[in-house]
Amino acid sequence: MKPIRRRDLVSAVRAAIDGGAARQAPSVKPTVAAPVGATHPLRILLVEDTEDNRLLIQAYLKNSPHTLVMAEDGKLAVEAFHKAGPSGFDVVLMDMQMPVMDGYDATREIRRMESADGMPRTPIVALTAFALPQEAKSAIDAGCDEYLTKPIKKATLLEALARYGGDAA
Amino acid sequence: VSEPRYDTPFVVRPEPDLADLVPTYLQRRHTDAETISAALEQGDLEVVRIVGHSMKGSGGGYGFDGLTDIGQELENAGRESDAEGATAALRHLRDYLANVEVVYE
Repeated sequence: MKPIRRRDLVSAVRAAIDGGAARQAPSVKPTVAAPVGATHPLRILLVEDTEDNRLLIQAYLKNSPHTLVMAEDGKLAVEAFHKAGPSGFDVVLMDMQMPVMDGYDATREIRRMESADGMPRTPIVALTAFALPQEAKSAIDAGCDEYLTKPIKKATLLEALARYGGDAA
Repeated sequence: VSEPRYDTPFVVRPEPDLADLVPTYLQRRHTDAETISAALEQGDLEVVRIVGHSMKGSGGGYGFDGLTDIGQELENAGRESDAEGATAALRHLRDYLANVEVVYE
């Protein structure tokens, strides 16, 4: 029997709380199940094709308690998500315009996997340097919970992570 | 709308914790300028759009808001197949890189 880590316990509780609601009403924007004020180290999947932006977000999180797994396109992201299993990540930061598989398709695929496997809904934050006004709506329609506009400042990122239970400090 | 001008020296102050990354970041923008120049010679405005979009999405994160603006110019020119606009935006990029002075505080 493996020892229970606090963050796994928190994730399991969160999964139990928001999993059912997300399955019943997938079109409804889920509420974040972490108790108000609770902070814990987040496991973050960063999906971003541009090295400049990967390095930047890595630098933003250098002194944070969060752990970062990086994927360079949507296809690799879906694989990483699948491999990590239920509650493998607390939040996904998803670039939308990428080669191979873009963020829209990757988000739809992640939502499909969650639904098929009865997994809790992992928050997905779209990262987009908007080229077209409809991109925000498209990101939400694809299954993202919110979007941040690139270029992303450190404070903006940390505030977003805090909304998902991450320590903003 | 006034044309962005970077043809005289100016100072940018990125976050000190990005100091390790900034030289490489700026070096890559020199490479972008060469890529855009070659694309324009071949009339490939799609490359201009893609490079511009990427620059727009990263510049301000590193503290270079002007590069985000120039990236937007490049992206727009690329999308509209506006070779003249792309050439002007490339000039802005080269001016920017020639005149930016990075200071950490």
